[in-house]
Amino acid sequence: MTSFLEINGLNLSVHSDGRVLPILSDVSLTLERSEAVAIVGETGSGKTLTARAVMGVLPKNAVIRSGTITFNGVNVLTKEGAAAAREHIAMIFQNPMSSINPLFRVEDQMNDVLNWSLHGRKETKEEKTSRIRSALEGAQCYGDGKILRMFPFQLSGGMRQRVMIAMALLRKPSLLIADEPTTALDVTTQKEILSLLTKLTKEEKMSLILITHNLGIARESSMKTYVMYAGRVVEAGPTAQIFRKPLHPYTKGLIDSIPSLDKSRSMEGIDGEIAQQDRAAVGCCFASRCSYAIDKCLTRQPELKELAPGQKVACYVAEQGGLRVV
Amino acid sequence: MRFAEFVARRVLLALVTLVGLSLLIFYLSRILPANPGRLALGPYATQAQVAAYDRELGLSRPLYEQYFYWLWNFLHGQWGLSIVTKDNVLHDVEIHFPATFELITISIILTSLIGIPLGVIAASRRGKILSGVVRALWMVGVAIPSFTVGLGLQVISSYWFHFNAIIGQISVPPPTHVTGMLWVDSILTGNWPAFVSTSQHLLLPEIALSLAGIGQIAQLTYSGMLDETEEDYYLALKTFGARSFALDFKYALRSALIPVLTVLGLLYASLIANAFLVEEVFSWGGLSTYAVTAMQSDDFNAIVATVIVIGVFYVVLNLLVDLSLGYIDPRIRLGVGH
Ligand SMILES: Nc1ncnc2c1ncn2[C@@H]1O[C@H](COP(=O)(O)OP(=O)(O)OP(=O)(O)O)[C@@H](O)[C@H]1O
Ligand code: SF4
Ligand SMILES: [Mg+2]
Repeated sequence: MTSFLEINGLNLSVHSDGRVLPILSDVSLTLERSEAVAIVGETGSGKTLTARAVMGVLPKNAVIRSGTITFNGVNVLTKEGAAAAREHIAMIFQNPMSSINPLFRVEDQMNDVLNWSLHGRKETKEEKTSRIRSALEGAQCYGDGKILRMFPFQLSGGMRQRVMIAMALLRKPSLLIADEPTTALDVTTQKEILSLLTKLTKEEKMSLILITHNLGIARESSMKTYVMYAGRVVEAGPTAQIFRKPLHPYTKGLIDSIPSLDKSRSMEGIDGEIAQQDRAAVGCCFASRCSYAIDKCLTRQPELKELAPGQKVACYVAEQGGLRVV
Repeated sequence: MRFAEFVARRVLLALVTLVGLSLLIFYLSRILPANPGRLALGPYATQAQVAAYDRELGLSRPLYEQYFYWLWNFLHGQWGLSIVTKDNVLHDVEIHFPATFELITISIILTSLIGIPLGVIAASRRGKILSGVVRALWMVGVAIPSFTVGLGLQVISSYWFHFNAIIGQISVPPPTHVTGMLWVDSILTGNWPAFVSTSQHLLLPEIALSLAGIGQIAQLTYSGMLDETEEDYYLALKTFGARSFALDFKYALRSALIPVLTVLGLLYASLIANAFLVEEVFSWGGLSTYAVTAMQSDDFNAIVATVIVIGVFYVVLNLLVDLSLGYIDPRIRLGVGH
């Protein structure tokens, strides 16, 4: 049986200055209906490009070298498949400042989004207005009459994100991909948006892919977590289990570095950052920053293996039974 | 209405600029010259004539009175005589300005109508070859001056295509005077032969004048559109099911147009100067030709008149560019920073 969304062994490169750089290596992810998964990883780990691959909106210089993505059994890597998938998947982009065109009123853009979703079906003006209203209400955008007449730059970050969510809701998606939906927002608004997303997934039976830097958010709002590093999934499994017993040194470092989950700190605990050569490394992509590394780590990239029920890890040391600092 | 308010403010600003312009021209033409009467009448006028003229200008009165007197006369069409044509320079301008105005206005319209869609289509995925064409056009336009293009076109079309409409504005009796712009007048009066002839005569100078601009505008639109297609909102709308036509022409183009409009304004302004060589090549007899003759023969009133006409043209042009920018970009008309 195939899953609702299945990414299998995705390899993606970008052409840049005449060179071909590997960006995603062997990324796999599965998502069931009504499931909420989180993708966590520091900046540059490939979260957004993975999501964009699913939506069929990769940058022009990106090429998928191998791998498959299916949604509802349909291959989304074809043009038709991507269009079909977009009917059911909505994505909220990383930066609410730039994800709405500043030159058009909210009304204008919502009307267009609604019309595109109708596929030429005729609806009266009243029906459309009430659909837009209910989408805004669904996204907890109150005072909608006024918001509709506004330009995006007249809205606060939180409001803009709600408008984005409302636009997504107009399409009644069965999967919502939210790329760092709260990064640019203050803490209170972050909480509100997250609980809104959680509420929507429950009430509308939507699946959710939540992309975040923030482990606290992943822990609160997801059932499964994928940890990405340098374009690879290094650990994946049930969220609670991963937080209780992380097996990959990178995940462990991340979790250990959070003083308190409520403070929801991001990836500051591990020294250094992802280097381009880590993406193309012969050995383990994390070796350059890993304090557990053994000789074997430099020879080959470890494969993802199920080391605990439902929990997959790509690490030799974890395979051998545990993390001891050497 | 916020837009009405924005328009009102900009129009007011343009009016203030015009007052400033009038003061400047008054200063340059009446205060700065030691002997404005002699300047205006030229070296062959007698001392008595100059003295009479000075009296007419009211040169002995207080400055502010002189200014208002000058402005009053100016607004009532008393622009002074040309020593070359012996006619009121206003009348000369009325003859020469429409010819240039028509030439450059059609050129700027062609530039927009061809350049912008060319850039948009080249930027869409379908346009691999077109993007090469755009770049080539742009480079050719930068490298070859428009009068050279004009000369080349004349040679090619008359030698190989036996196309005779290579100089002048018309080769049949001109249409009844309405605006002074022959092509426009021939349409307004429904004069078919004049329309055909003026169209033929416009063909080569328009190509010569517009080619570089088309390349520049197409290239600018092209690169602007490419940038837009990487914007988050573009991707978002695409995932929301936008057809590429709506996405490109409605959403992306509007943002990409902001720099394009500014450059179109600059192009239009520079055309009035650049048109001179093209007008020479095609014996067009427009304002540029008039201005150069005036300068060569120290025809002071004529020079002042052209400066005024071009100055007013720039102010109005600036206003139009401002208004259209405000129209497409709400941040500009609402006074919000980017
Ligand atoms: N169009 C592109 N051309 C070249 N490199 C790119 C392009 N898009 C992304 N990259 C590179 O690919 C890597 C992964 O990018 P991606 O946007 O997926 O990261 P991310 O995990 O979403 O990071 P962030 O948390 O900063 O959003 C980054 O190193 C980025 O620089
Ligand atoms: S495989 Fe080696 S280098 Fe990679 S994470 Fe495990 S211990 Fe560290
Ligand atoms: Mg990202």
